[in-house]
Amino acid sequence: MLDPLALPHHGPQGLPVSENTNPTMLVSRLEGRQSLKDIEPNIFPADDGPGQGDVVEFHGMEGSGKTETLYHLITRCITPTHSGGLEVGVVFIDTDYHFDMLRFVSILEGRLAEDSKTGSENEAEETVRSCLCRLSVVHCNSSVQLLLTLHYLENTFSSQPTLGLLVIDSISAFYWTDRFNGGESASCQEANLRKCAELLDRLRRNYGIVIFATTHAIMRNFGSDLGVSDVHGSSSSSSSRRWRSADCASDFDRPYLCRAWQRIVTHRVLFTKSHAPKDHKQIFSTACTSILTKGVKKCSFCVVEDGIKFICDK
Amino acid sequence: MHRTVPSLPLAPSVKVKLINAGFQAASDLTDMRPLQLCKEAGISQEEAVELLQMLRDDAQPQQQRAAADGVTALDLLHQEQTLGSIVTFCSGLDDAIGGGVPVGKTTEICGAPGVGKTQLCMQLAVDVQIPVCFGGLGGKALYIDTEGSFLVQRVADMAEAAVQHCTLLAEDTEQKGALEELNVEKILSNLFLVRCHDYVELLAEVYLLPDFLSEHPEVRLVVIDSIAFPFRHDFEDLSQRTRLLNGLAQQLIQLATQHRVAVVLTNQMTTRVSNGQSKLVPALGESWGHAATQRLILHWEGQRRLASLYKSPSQMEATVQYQITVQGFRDSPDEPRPTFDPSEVSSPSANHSKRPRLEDLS
Repeated sequence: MLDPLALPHHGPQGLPVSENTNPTMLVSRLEGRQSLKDIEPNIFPADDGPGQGDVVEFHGMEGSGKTETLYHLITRCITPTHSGGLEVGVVFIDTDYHFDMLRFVSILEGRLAEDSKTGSENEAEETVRSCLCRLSVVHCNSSVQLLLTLHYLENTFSSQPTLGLLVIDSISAFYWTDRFNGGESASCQEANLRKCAELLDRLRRNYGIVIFATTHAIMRNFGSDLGVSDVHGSSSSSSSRRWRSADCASDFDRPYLCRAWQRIVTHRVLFTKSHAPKDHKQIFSTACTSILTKGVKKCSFCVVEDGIKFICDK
Repeated sequence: MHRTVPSLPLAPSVKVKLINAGFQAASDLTDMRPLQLCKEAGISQEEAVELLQMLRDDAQPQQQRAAADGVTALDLLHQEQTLGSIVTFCSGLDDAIGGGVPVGKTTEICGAPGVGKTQLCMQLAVDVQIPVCFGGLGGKALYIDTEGSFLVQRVADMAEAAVQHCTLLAEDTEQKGALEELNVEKILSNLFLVRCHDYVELLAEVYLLPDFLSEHPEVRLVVIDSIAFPFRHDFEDLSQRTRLLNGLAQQLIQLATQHRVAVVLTNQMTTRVSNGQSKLVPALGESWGHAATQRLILHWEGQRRLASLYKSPSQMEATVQYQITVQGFRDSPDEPRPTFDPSEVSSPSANHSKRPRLEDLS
């Protein structure tokens, strides 16, 4: 684990890329990042998975399967290639303080057990340990600490080409605290999150990492009709229309974070929980939209002991 | 986790200025001076003084609370041993309740009419004044009478008998010196009497008791004879009665512990019918049964008067026989020691009246 208390004080650091870097070295550094386009075909559209520099937002209410899906995707990243994994390093920033290491290890062991039918227990334990070495977990308890952590991680990403994924669960954890501390000025309320978004934008562009971030669904969407949205002005309606699709509309999917964050999001995955459990199992649904392609990629899953299990509806 | 500036109870405008000035934790503010904080954060001097004062007050209550929780069980044991108790002149009953009616606690005496409740209360009011060198407390007594059954002539008879008893016991110089102060007039003058005619007067009197006991610290006994009489008639709202009685119980327990007095209450009996059977139980209901620390039930068995320890946190169950004589509340000559077998046969008294008054044998 990285110790956030050892972070340096304020002051953005200069880019490690010096002026003497020629284009050949820059291309070779970018080529080192593993592509995550095929991380999960069930969730992301075909040929439009999260590529280098993409930002994916997981949006849903509490208990809709966001963190469980993150566990599933992270185990896909850190497992070795001969087990069907991507062998990519992951940094997990836990702001809600509910990262469950025991749950994560059990999901990881369940995934590894599917492939390694043979082998002793020592080999299995060594495999789990080597997988966990590719995962770093950082805890943050305020938006200022989150900003300092991202500044510190810039060094980490520049020195470790194998790191390909940054997970923030959740990036909206300090929304109400920042609003309260900002006083009456909206720009002061959003200052910390805006700086974090700008820093994330720089990280994804310069290092080609993929960013997964969860956001709480806390804003009710009044006036879901597109006609009513147009009345509020072109900027808000265009922002709302950007993510809105008639098929995946729900009451709690209105974006409320700062504009700098909404601008860098390339994929948005909406999580919903069905009202009626089917066969005594809770069914969760995801609807993924992308800024590049039209249409919505949908899937359903339920949570079992070894993680999430996708249900083929189509 | 240390306390952060956003979690402090401050005005939003002050909080925003502090955060913009770079103060993140409350510990960053505690070492600053008001003028320094005024300049750094851009707040007024009054706001800075108020803020630092609030931080100081916020740090103190934890230390003060820790000091207030310092009483140990050993300290309590020492305190209880120094309090003593009030003898009843019935050695069997004194043994059964642990040396006498305890000081610092509440004791309830329940019984049917004419069994001797008021006699025991008047006896205690006299016995509390026995000098220390004779094994008493040397205190005074406050008697709250709600039934009108307090008879001063009867108290005078009991006082005379107590003086005679101490005269026979006097041996050394100290005891002889104390005897010169002990006489009937002195005992009666150290007994305060309050007459309450209804529950409102009783509640008012109990409300005034803390001040009275502060002015008269020698008072070691408070008697309420009876607690049941004002609450058993002219009371239509039973839930209000329960609330008033519970509040009264709390006040009496507080009196007993804070002013180190013995509180003695008397209660009447009522009939409870269940499964076709009927039996006598103390009045005022089940919730009142938890009010007293100790509960005694005086009851008849044939022509014998028996006292049973009904509720006590410290003494074992016991039933003793007693009698009412010209001298007062006394041991029965047939059974001077506590007996654990009430059905034991003993010779009955020759007197057949409802309230036998055995003549003094001496």
